Amino acid sequence: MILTQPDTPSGIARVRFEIQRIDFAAPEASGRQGGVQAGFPLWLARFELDRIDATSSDLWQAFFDRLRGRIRRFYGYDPTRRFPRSRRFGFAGLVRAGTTTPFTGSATSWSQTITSAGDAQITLGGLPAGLEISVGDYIGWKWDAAGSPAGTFDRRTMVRAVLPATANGSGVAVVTAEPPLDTALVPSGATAHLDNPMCVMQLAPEESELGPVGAGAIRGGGGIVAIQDLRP
Amino acid sequence: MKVIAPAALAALEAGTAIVTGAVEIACDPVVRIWGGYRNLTFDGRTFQPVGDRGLVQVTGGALGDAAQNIELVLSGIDPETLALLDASEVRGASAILWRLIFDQTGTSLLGFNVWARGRLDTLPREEEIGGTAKITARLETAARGLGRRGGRMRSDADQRLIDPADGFFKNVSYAGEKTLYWGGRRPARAGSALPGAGGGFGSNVLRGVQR
Repeated sequence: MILTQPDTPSGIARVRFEIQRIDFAAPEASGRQGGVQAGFPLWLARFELDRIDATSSDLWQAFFDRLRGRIRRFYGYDPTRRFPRSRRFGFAGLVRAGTTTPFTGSATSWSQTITSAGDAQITLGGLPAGLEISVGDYIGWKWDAAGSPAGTFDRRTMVRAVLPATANGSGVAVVTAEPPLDTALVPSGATAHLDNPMCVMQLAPEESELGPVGAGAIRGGGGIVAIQDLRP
Repeated sequence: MKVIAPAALAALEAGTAIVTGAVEIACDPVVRIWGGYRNLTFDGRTFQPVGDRGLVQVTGGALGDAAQNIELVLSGIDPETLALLDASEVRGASAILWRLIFDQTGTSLLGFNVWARGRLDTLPREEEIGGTAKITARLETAARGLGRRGGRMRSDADQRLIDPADGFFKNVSYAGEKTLYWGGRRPARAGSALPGAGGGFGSNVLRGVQR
C-alpha cells in the first residue's frame, strides 16, 4: 500500500526536493577535482513544518503512524509545484492542440533524447498549444508494476525542468530536464503527466521527527526526510 | 590487464562517468546483482537491481603490496542478496566483480570490465538493532592465493596432499626462513628457528641446516 502525502490546512512551511547524487571524489594536487559518480541519482525530499494547527497535527501524526517507519511508501510531491507555474490552479478550460479534448495534464506521447552535450530533452506530445513549462516545473511518469492491476500507477518518478519550454501549435514541447530519465527503467507505455508529478518515497525515520503537542493542541513543528524508492 | 572501452575511458577522463558495480556469485542458484534500479543485461548475463551505490567501493590494495581481500557490503534485506545466505554450494563459490561505467545521464552503459575474480571466503551477516542489516561477502582473489605468506610449501606434508604416495620431500627439513649466526651469542629465538640445533654454537647450528 502506498500512502498519499497529507494535504493539511497549515501546509508545509518549507520544502526542498533535491536530486541526490553521490560522488567518489579524487581531487588532484593541481586543484582539478577528479572523480566519478557512484550510482544513479534519486529524489530526496525534505519537508519542514512550523507550528501546526490541531487538525494538521492530527493528519501528520496519522500519516506518520500509517507509514510504520520504513515499512510503507508514500507518493511524495513538491507541494509548491503541483502544476506548472503558468497554470498554478490546474488545466481547466484547456484543450489538447488541434482537438476539443480537454487537457487533464497527461501527455499523449513522450520520448527522451540525449543531446551531444549530455542534456536530457523530453519531448511531450498532446499538450495544449502554447502551454508554458517554466524552470522548476516537474514532469511525472506513472506506470503499473508487474502484476499490479492496470491503472494502479504504483510506480512513479519525475524530472524537473531546467530550461523553459513552450508547446508549439501542434502541442509538442521539448523540455530540458534533470535528472535524465532512465528509459530502460520507465517503460515506453508509462504516462508522462504535468498534474501532480510524484515519486514513490520511503521515510528516513532517523532523520524525521514530529515535534511535541502543546497548549491548544498546537504542534511545535517537525521535519520529514524521505528518499525515492525507484523500482522497475 | 584490464581493457576498458575507449568511450568509458573518455568519460573517466572527462569526469562525467557514473560508476557502479555488478557481482556474480556462482552458488546455486547463481546470484547476479548490480547497483542500479532495473534489470541489466550484459555479457550474456542478466543482473537483478539492488540499487546499491556502494558496490564499487570494495577494492583496496596497491601494486606490489600484499593482495587484499575484497569485501562487498550488501544489503541484508534485499531478496536478491538474501538468496545468497540460503544458497547451496555457497562455500568457495567463484565470484566475479565487474565495474560498470555509464555516461553522465546514466542511460547508456559505456563499458564493463571484470574488476576482480575470486572465491567467496566468508559471509558474515550483521544486524544491528536500530542500525543497518548487511551481509558482507568476502572474496578471496587469486592474487591472494598466489602471493600469500604461510601457504602451501615444499614440505612432505604438503606434497602428500597432492599425491599421498609421493614422499619426495620426506627427508627435507623445512623452515620458511633460516638465519645463520656465526659466532657471538646465540639469539634466544635461534633454538626454535633451527630445528634440532640444540643449545650449542657453530657446528650444532650447521648440523641443523644440513639435516
